[in-house]
Amino acid sequence: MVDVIETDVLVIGGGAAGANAALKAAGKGARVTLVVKGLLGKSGCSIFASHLPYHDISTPQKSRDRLRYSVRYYNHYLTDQDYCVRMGAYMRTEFFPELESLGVYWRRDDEGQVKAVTSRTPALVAHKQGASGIIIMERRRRQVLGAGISVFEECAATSLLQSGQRVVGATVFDYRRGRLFGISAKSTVIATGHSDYLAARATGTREQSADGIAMALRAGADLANLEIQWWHISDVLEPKSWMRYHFYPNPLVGTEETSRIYNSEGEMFFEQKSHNPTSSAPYVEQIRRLALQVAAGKARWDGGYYSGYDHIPSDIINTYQHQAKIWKKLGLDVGKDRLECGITLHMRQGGILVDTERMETSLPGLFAAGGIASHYLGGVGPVSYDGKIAGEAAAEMARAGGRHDLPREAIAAEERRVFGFLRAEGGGVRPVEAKLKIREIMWELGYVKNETKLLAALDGLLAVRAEMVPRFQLQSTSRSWNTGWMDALDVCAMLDACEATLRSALARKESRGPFYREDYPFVDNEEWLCKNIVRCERGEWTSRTERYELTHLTPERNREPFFEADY
Amino acid sequence: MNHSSRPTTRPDTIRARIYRFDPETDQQPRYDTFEVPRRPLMRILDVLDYVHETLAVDIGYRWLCTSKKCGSCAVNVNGSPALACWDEALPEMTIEPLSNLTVIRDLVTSRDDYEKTLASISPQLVRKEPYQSFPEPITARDFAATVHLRECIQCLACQSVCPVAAQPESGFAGPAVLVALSELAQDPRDGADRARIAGETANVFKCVSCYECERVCPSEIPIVSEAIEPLKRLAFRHTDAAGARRARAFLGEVKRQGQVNGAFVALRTKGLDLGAVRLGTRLLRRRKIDPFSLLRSLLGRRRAADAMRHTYESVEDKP
Amino acid sequence: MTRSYAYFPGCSAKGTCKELDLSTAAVADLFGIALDPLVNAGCTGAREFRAISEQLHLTANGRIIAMAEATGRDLVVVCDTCLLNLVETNARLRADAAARDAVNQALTSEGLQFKGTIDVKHFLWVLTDDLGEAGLRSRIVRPLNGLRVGPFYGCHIQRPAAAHQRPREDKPALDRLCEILGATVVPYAGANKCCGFHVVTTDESIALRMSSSHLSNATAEGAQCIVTPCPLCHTVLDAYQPDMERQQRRRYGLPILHVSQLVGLAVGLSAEKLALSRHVVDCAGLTAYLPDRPLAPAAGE
Repeated sequence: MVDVIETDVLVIGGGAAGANAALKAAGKGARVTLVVKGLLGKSGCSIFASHLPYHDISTPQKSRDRLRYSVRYYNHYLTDQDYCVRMGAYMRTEFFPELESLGVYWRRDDEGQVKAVTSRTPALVAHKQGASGIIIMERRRRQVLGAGISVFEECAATSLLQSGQRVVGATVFDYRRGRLFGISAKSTVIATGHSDYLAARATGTREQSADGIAMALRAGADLANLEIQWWHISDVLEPKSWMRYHFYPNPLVGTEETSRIYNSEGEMFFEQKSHNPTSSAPYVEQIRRLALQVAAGKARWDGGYYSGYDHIPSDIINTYQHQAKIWKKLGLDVGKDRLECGITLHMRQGGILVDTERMETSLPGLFAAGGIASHYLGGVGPVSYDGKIAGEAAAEMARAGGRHDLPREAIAAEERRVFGFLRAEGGGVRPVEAKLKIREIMWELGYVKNETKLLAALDGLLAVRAEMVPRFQLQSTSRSWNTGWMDALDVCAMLDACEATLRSALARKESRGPFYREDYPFVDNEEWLCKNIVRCERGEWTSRTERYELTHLTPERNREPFFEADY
Repeated sequence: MNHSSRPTTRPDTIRARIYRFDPETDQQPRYDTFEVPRRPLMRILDVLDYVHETLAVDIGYRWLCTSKKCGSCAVNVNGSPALACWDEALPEMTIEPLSNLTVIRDLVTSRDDYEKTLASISPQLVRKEPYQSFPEPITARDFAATVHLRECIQCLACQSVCPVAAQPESGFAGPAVLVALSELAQDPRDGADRARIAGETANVFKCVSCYECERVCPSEIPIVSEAIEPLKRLAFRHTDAAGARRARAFLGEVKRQGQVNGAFVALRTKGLDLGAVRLGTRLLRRRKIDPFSLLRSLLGRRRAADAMRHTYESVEDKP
Repeated sequence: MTRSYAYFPGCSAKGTCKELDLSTAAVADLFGIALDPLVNAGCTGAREFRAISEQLHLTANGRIIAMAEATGRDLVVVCDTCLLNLVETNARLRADAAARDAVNQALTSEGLQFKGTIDVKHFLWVLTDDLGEAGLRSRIVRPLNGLRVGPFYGCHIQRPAAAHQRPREDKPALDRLCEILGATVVPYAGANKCCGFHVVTTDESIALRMSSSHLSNATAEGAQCIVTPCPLCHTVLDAYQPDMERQQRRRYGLPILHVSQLVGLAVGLSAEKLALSRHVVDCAGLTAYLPDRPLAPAAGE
């Protein structure tokens, strides 16, 4: 039997949401344990934060502008609008002051004015645009480590433990030492992020194999809008590992100009300033425009188009842009040269279904905060808000409720599953081969989807599950950082998450925001302004929809062609 | 139009010799060699990924962000630290874990010692005055001196090459920790006793000023001149650490004699012990110390140095 | 043509490494290089002035440069740490008008002014670059054939890289010099590393551990001596060598030469002129590797 640690509140995930959930729960007096698959504040996507929206909400009109940005351009109406109002107020009144009080230096000029992105969607940067996440998360990291919270790094939660429906803890795999342990918690916050490495080109990182979605799915949670996945288009093509380096299409600090994207014939086909001025995250418009270039043979999804800042004085880029160092490193001139780009699967709007007052999921005892939840796209500020309310609610629950017994049989079963992969004999399939196969399937599916392609991808996944997984064979049975073993566990999570994503995509019979089905090429606000919910219980998939309440903003049209919609 | 398509003059194959060591099963490390087809602009991490993914070899390596943000992927390449996601793959590479850190598996090293040391220097901002409201009254000028320090991503390349941090018994915190400490110490909002922490907890005076840390920093931080020396100056003013005593003795000597008598500085810093007697005897015997000049040092100032002394004294109390 | 420089020997060459000053003078004399010592030039501050006050560091070094400027000649030093202090200050005061003004204000009372008109050089570079290979070769009478030399560069002549904006060399100057003299350069781990001098007075054992490993590596590669352009490195490697032997419980007996001494041997200067007896580690054995007597009478002897 594995060791079991007792805690009041368990937080799974060490990005901005998880860190803040842990801090706020500890602030309420709870004993908190945080497990993170990578390194606290360093893994996941919070460290990628570029610049943080800093909207003035001092007048009703300004507040409405802020809401429009969140609801319409960032979430395409697939969000709780009241939550957006509350979160906007949090950002303005709590988030920036809290981080500044920690010592984060929000860039100033020599007179002390905050040096902001000054477009219609203002934003602040810590140190440099593109480096804000590094600074913010390092301060958060030190804050958590100094707050008496038990932190287990390089430890991946593998399953949620339940007593009936109620979540009472998790099993955790410490892959440095190759041991599995249990955590018994009075309440659990899952905060594993919104970006996963599920396609051949993706901004998700090594550890991001959609474990959170997979665990929630296996526990029987409701998941919503999993199909709403964003693609970025201005990401570096070569070197391959730099695909997570992104040339921001967003408004820049120090200039009114924005980066430009050019097709293979040198024609500029996107710049935020002219083509999408109201959105500070113009990714949806970008990829629609790229799709037209690809159709015209003037770009490929993996290259043949270019981005850069060569129309902007290079001293501005060098002063304010973290990315400027790429040019220097490659021996290029940011004032002259452009770099070839490819698309990458980026973040996911959907995730675990939550109520937005307390971030409670459909499973008692389980809260979801940040990108893993379905209510909002993400961003370091919003997910910090989620972490705060989830952490406080989880602490409250821990204080009110007692401890439940851990399900011994479930722990034993998980131990058998995890250690079942630790074998150096078998069918000769290396787990990493299955990983690559899944990423290939999801890449082939790509941005332009239809029912035939979705069903083919689903068949492909089912074949990996049936034919490759049972034949896994590791090179070593060592327990210390056994890469093959880690891959095997990742594959299981990726399969579950991708299958749920494809089933969700098949269910949504429209196109919206980043989600494009060529067999349903229209935005359908009449039928599909709703949460697209899937659940899997004992192998049975069920789906349902639930309409969003449009408490503040309503789309102008019920139905419009996808490529003409302004959001 | 000016696209980046640079001609490849390099060979189309990379030979990577990778350090393999599993503390659970291996007595000795070994090296496995892999041939990896070159891709354009390839980084070290692309080579490791190819070995892991395409060659399906279970090398132990750590990476997270792949964009020079998290600092988790530093390794030694041909004997010197490199950030795997950042530095170019070389045609012939021996890839090993960073030096002076405990190996977990193959290229993966433990960051635990660093974290422990970082925790010892009170790594959070300790506010002089309670925080008021956003935005607080600070300017870019207040942070100009630390602009390079904020580029640190804690990759531990510097820590791994520091010859003093390599000796844990030295008590020296190491360059990565000192960068963090120096950023706090130069923050106008911070009110912790950073001088004491620098001089006594982090032992900043044990820095040998070899600049190895600066040589390997992927963020090109001038660690010695912009992190360590400001800390030394702070500790010089406010502590009695041995290094501060040495600096005082040194300046005093120069001012009195116009130059330094090394033996005398040592005496005034450490006092007379067995080692000093042994060394002194040896140096006297070989005429490396001139007893008369030592005596002169003990007895008052040299008049010829008066003008110089005056010049030094006009500036020595300035920052 | 006589080459003429202002010369700042530094405290080691005037104190515990007197042999450096003596042998430098002898070699310079032989090659017709005039080195005129600055008078009452003070100190570059080693690593200490920087740890006290940046203004003191800049002023003390700016003062030395200004004194050399008054002679209208480039400034030559024989110590890596002096070199770095002066080279960095020279660049900083040339580029930073505010820093230059502050230094010049402090120098007014002595009638000195930093103008930024001269370069600061190590004597090693005077030999390899100004004098050059042909100039050096013309005086070699006892090529060091067969002598296996481990170079020990010292930190401050090479790092930080930004301070030493010299033309990119495919081979370090010290290696080139050794080869011109006929010696065999022995590569070994640690040749580029730190001797630990700057903590030796406060934390001797740190420095001993560092330098003993360099001695071990050089010995293992078959070096018969080490040559260094820095008297501070020399002090640790030579004067503290018995302490390293005690700490490591082994015997090294590895002679440590100054650059000027190695050159002196090849151009036929006597052990006495080179003050080889002023070392802690006995250098007598070294001459065994050299031809019995000069191939031709050397000028100046």
